[in-house]
Amino acid sequence: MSDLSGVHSQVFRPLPDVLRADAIVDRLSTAISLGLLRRGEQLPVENQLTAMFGVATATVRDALQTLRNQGIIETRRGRSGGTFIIGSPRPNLDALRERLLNLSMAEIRDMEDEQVATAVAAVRLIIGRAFPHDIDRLERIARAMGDATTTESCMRADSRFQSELAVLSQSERLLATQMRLLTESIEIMWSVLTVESDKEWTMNDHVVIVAALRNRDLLAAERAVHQHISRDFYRLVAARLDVLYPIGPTHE
Amino acid sequence: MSDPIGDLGPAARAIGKWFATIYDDLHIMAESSESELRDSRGTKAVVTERDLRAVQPAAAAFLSSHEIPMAAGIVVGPGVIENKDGSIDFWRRSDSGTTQRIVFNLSPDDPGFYDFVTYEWFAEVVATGKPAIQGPYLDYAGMDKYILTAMVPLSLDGVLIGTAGCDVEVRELERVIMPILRTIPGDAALVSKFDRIILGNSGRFLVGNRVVTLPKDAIRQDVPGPELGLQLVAAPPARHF
Repeated sequence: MSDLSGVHSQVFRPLPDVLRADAIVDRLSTAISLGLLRRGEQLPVENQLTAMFGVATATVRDALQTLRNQGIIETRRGRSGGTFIIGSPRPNLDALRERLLNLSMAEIRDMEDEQVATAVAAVRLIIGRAFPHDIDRLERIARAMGDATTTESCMRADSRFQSELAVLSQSERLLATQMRLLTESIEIMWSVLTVESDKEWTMNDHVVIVAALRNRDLLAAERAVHQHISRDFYRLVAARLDVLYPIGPTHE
Repeated sequence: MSDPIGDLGPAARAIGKWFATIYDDLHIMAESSESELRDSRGTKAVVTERDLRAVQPAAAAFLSSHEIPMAAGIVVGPGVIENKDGSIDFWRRSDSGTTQRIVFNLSPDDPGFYDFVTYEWFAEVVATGKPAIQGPYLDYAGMDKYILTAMVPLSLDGVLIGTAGCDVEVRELERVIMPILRTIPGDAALVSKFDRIILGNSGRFLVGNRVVTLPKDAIRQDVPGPELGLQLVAAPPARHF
C-alpha cells in the first residue's frame, strides 16, 4: 500500500536515538553471547560502525560507552589501539522475560515455523552435500553439550550445533537466516530452559538428528529437527502462559 | 481424582458471550450503515463511492465501544454501486483517537489486487445471508496481519449488497480468550468450524494448526451465541513429548 500518511508512517517513523543505541548494544551483546564476535576481536572503528548501523556518531558512542561500562569492550590508545571485546555479556534476565511476555502465541508459533523451515532445508542440503567427516564434526559439536554445566554454556553449545547445521548446508544465505533466528530466539529459549531438566533431551535430540544425517535418511532427519524444535517451543509457550495466566493445565 | 478435563460449559459460555457482544454490535453497525447509505444516496438511482464514506460514524461508533477489534466497516459487492469493482470502506483507529480509512487495491489488473469476493468472510455471508467468521488467516494485501474477520450481512432496501464487520488481530484476541481457556484444567483450544485452532491453552494446540487427530478421551463443546460453528476441544493434559 502506498498510504504513508497514517499507520504506515507510524511503522516507518525514525527510531529515537536512545532506542537505536539500545538496539546496537543488544545486537553486539547477542553476537558476543553466540560467539559470532569473539573475545579479543577488534570492533570496526567508530565511523565504520556509524556507517554500517546507519546512525549518528553520538548514537554509536552511547552504545559503546554502555558496553564499556558493562566490561564487555575496552578501548586502547596508541599504535595498536582500537576497541576490543574483553568480556561476555551477562544475560539480562529481566529484559529476556519482558521480551518473552511480549510475544503473542501467533508470533511464537511463527518463529517456530521459520526455524522448522530453515532447519528442514538445512538437513535436506546436508544429506546431499556433507561428507562423513562433516557428520563426525557435527556429532562432536552435538556431544559437547554433555560438558556444559551452566545455562550459558548449554546455550552456547545449542547455538553452536544449530549454526553448524547451516554451515554444513554450504549455503551462505541459509547461514545468515539461521544466525538471525538464533539472535532473536536462543537467549529467550534458554531463559526458560535449565541445565537440570533440559540439557539431556536437547543433546539427545541433536544426536538423533546427527544419526539420521549419517544414515542419509531425509524423512527421519526432517522428523527429528521438527520434533526437536517443537519441544523447544512447547517449553517456551508453557513458560509464557504460566506467567501471564497462572491457572492452567497441569502437566506432570 | 478430579476430572482431568473439567466441564467445558462455563468456558464455552464465556467465549460465546464475548462473541455475542461483538456480533450484536456488528448488526447495529450494519443497520446504521444502511440508514446512512439511504440518506446519502437520496434520490439518486445508484449508490456512489461518495455515499459509502457516510458510514464512517457507524464504524467509529463500533470501534469506540470495542477495544479488541483493529478495524471495522462495510464491504459492498461488485455491481451494486456506481464503481463496478465494489468497495471496501474499512476504518481503523489512529493514534490521535480518530479513525482512518484503509486503502485497498480493488482493480483486478493491478499488482496487489485484493480479490475480496473470493474470501470466506464475503462469499459465505453473501451466499447464506448469515453471520460468519474467518480465520485465523494472513490477510495479505489487506490488513497484512494475522487476523480473524467477523462479518454480518449488509442490506439496502431489503436487498443484500455486501457485508459489515470487523478485523481482529490474533494477538489482541488472546487478551480476552486466553484467560478463559486457562480456566480449563485439560489441554484445550477454541477452534473454527473447520477445526482450525484459533487459540490453545498450551503448546499442544498452537494457533493456526488444524486439529487432525484427537485422543479417544477428548471432548468437544459447541460455543453458544452467534452461529459461527466455533467449538471448544479439550483433552486430558499431557506433555507434548
